Amino acid sequence: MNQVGSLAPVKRISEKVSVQTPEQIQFEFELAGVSARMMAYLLDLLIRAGIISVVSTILVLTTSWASEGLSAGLVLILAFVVEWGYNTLLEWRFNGVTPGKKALGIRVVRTDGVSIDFVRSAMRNFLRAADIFPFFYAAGVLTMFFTGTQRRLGDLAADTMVIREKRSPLRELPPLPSNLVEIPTGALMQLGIRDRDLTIIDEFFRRRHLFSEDRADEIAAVLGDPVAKKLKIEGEDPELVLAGMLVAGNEVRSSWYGRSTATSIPGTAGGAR
Amino acid sequence: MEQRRARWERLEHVLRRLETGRSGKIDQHELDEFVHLYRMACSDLARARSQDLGDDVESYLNAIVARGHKQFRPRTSPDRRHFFEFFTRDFPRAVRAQKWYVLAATLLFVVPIVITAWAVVNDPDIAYSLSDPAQLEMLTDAYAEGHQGGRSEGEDSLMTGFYVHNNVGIAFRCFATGVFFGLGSIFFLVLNGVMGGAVGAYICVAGYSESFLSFVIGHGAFELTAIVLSGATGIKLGMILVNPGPYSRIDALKLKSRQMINVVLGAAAMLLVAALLEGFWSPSGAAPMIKFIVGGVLWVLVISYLMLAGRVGESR
Repeated sequence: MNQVGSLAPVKRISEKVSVQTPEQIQFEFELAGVSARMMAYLLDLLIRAGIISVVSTILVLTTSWASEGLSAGLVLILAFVVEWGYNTLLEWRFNGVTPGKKALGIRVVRTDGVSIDFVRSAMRNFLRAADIFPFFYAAGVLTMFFTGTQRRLGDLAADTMVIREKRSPLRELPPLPSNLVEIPTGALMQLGIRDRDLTIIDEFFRRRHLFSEDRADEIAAVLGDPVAKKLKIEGEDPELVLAGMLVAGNEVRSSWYGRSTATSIPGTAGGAR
Repeated sequence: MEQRRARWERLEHVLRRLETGRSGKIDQHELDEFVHLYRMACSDLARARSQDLGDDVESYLNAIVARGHKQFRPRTSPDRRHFFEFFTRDFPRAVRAQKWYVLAATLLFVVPIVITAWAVVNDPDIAYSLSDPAQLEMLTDAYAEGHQGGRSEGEDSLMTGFYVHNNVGIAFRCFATGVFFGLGSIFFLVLNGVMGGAVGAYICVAGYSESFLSFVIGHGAFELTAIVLSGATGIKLGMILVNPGPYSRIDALKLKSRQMINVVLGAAAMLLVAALLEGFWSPSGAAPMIKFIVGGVLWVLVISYLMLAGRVGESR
C-alpha cells in the first residue's frame, strides 16, 4: 500500500477529457485509443465485406437474367454506397456508433460531448480519404499522436472525438458484520476523522468481496490499527473496528446533513441503514 | 440514498430507451422526466465531488451524466423537405458562397488542360510520357471505332457502376486531401487536368476529335464541374486552416463546414447524373451533331443552375 504512494506520478496514456455541461457540472470522458479504434475499424471492414458479398449475391441472382453488365454495374454502385455511406449514415443515425464501435465500446461525440449531427458525420468520414493517405491511415494515426486528444484529421475538421463508453455499476454496500466493535460517536469525533476517511472505509466494504481473506485483513489492519491504538482497543479485529467507525461516522454525518433522507448525501446516510 | 439510487436507476432506464434510438416511442412526459432526472444527477455529481463521497459513486454518476449529456443534440435531421430544398437552394448557394475558390479551382484544372493539349498537339510523343502508352492506344482504338452502333445495355450499366464508384471516389479524395493545407486538392486538380489534356489531345491529333469530343461534352457538363467544385471545396478547407481569420482554426472550420459538406454532397449528386449520362447517353449511337447540341444545352443548364438557383431570399 505505502509503496504505491511513494511511486512518482505516472502520466497515464489513456487520457481523459473534461466537459462542462450547461448546468456547470464538469464530467469526464475517457478517450478511445488507437488500438480500440483500429479493431473497431477492422470489424466494420469485415461487416462491410459481408454486406457487399451478401447483397451482391442477391443482386446477381435477381438481375443477371437481364444482363450480366447490369448486375456488375449494380454491384459497383453498391460497393460505392457501402464504402462511403456505411460510417457516415450509421454514425449519424445511431449517435456516433457503428457495429464495430459498439463491439469495442467506443463512440463518436462532439468535443463538447453532445451527439454528432449529419454534417459532422459526413465531414469526419469523407476526410477518411485524407487520413488514409498515403497508406494504412498513416496520416490519421500520426495526427492522433500529435494532437494529444487522439483525433485524426477527420475528427479535427468535424470537431469530434472518439470516447470509451464507460459503464461503471454502482456497487451495493453489503451488510456490515453484526458483531462490529461499537464506537461512540463522541470518541470518533475526537479522533478528527474526516469525510475522506469514512469514504475510504465505505469503499473498502463495498469491495470487500473482491479481496482474499488475507488481503482484506492486511488492508483492514492498515486502516484500522492506528484507530484501535488511539481508542485503546488493540487486539480487536480491525475489520470490525472499521465497521464500527463507519456506522458511527454515518450517524455523525446524517446528524449534520441529514434533516431528511431526500437531502442527505448519497452513499452515506443510506449506507448506515 | 435509496431514493437517489431509485432515481438514478430510473434515469438509467430512460437513458437505455433513448439510446436504443426508438425515440418515437418516448412521449413528452418521459422526456420531461429525463431532463429532470438528468439535472438531479448533475447536482448529485457535484455534491459527490465536493463532499468526497468516493470514487465509486463519483465514477458511476460521471458515467450516467456523460450518457445523459450525449442525448442532447442539435435537431438537424434532413427530411424530405430538406432534400428538395438542398437542390433548389442550399447547394447552389453554397457554391456561390465560395465562388472565388471555384474560379481558382477552374483555373487550376483548365490551364493544365490547355497547356498539355497544346504541347501534345505540337509533339504527340509527349502524351506517351504523361500517360500509359498501352492505355492511350486502347482509348484511341475505342474512339476510332466510334459509337455508331451504340453499346449493349448491359455494358452501359456496367460502365455506369464503374463511373459512380470511380469518379465520386475521385471527387471525395479531391476534397478530403485539401486538409493538407489545400495542397492535395491542387495536386489532384492539376493531375486530372494534365492527364485529361494529354489523352484528349492525343486522340484528337490521331484524327478522332469528333468521336471524342461528342462523347465527352454531354456528361462533362456534370463531371468536370463536379470535380472542380470538390477541388474548390478542398482548397477552401485548406485555406481556412492556413488563415482562419479572427477565429480559431476549429471555430472557422465549424462555421463553414455545413457549406463545404453541401458542396461536396452536391458534387457527388452531379457525379451520379454524370455517371448515368456517361454510361447510357455519351456512348449511344446518336449523331455527333445531336450530342454536341444536347451537350451544349447541358453546360448552359448546369452553369445557370449553379449561378441562379435559390437566388430569391439569398442573403447577399
